[in-house]
Amino acid sequence: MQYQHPIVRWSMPITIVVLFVMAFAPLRWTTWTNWFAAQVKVAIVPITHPLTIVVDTIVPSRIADPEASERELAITNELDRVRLELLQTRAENERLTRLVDQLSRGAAVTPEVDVSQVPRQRVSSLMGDLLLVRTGPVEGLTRGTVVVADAVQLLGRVARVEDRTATVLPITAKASQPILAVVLLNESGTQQVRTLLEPTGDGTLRGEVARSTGDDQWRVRVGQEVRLRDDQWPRHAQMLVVGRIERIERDEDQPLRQRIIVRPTTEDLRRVPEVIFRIPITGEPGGGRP
Amino acid sequence: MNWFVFALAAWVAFGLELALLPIFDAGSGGVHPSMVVPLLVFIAINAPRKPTLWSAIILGVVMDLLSPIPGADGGVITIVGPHALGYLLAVHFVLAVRGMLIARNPLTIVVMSILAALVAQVVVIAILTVRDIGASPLMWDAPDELRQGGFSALYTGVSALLLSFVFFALAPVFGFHSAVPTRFARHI
Repeated sequence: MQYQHPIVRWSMPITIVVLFVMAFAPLRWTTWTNWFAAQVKVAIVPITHPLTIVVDTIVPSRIADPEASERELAITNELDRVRLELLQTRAENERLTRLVDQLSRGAAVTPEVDVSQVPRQRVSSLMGDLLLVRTGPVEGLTRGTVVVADAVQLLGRVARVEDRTATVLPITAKASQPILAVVLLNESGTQQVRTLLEPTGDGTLRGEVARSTGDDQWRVRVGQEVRLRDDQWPRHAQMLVVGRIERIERDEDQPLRQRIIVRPTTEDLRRVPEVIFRIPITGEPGGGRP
Repeated sequence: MNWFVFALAAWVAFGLELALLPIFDAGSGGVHPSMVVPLLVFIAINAPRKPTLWSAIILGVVMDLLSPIPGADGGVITIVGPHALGYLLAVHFVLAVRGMLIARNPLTIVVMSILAALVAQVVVIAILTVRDIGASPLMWDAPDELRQGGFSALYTGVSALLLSFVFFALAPVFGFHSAVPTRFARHI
């Protein structure tokens, strides 16, 4: 029988034991693997990125209005931005009213936060509906940074920041946390109804709203806009677009509630070519500026 | 086995898997074909035992590093081991039955890819489910993952069918010099 050095002979069993130990080891003992994960992503990007471009060219991601011209799209984007500002101002107004009330009772105050927007390219997707974004050095980019697409479409949050890349968890990923949002019942957004949206795993979010018992004018309808209104998210992310109501389902168990299915305005959040990081400007040296 | 060709094939397979992930998604989130498993099965059918096992470990570790699991705190967690052990058991299964297989038949790659993907998924889900017992930082739903894994394994059959023709064409450059014992004939 051919002689094998003990290291060669035992290398396979040792590797298997090491893999077993690592598979069950506490997470704080295996954080060093993140460095290897970053290197593997860097190595894999030169093949995934060109393939992603080819795939996106052959099967383009659907946009809100495919027949709109570039100028129309620019105007629509501008309109969306202005609308966001209006709704944010209104939400801010409400908040300030509450704040004045709290101040009068001696409650704590949170300082206003300014935001810088940093656009970056998506290079590929990862398992579990995660997005891999090439970032380079971006000051202030941390885990939890809010990410948008198409100016105001909420995409998700940064789940991990590495040297050259960031991993983004979209709001539609199954593992995402539920989000609180409001359905705008009229165009101006003065009438709203709250809902807790949970990702379904097929690119949509599902939530329940109370059935309107009063004025029929303020009913939840297909096509209505849904925007973020969740204290778990930063203040600058409030009123960003979550999506539009795609369909309304009846819940037989709860006749007084309706189930709404919300789809983001970008058809597939995992396939956006570019994302925008919304980084709060802290004003401190070395922090919060791209 | 030519390790340089293996590395190149693995690089392209991972690239295809990640680039085509949102396109071939079966609409229910998480159900998608694997490009890596058919490569592994092709190697397991043709290569000697030891390189096959090492290939499984290498591909599994890379897959673990590319498959971060969302955590309950909004971050992602990389766990090295589940895919590596899953692929190892999957190729063990292929090695155990390869003597009875017709190596240069696309259907062999298809059927073995489905079974190997299923075995690998079961191992991955079992490990992560055991990890998830108690106060776990993982966002993990074992029944849902098992359903996705089962359908993904079936879906892998489609990619295996297409890739098998590419693999057969590339077989000479892989440099397999194995003497795989077959059940009903002499060594192939």
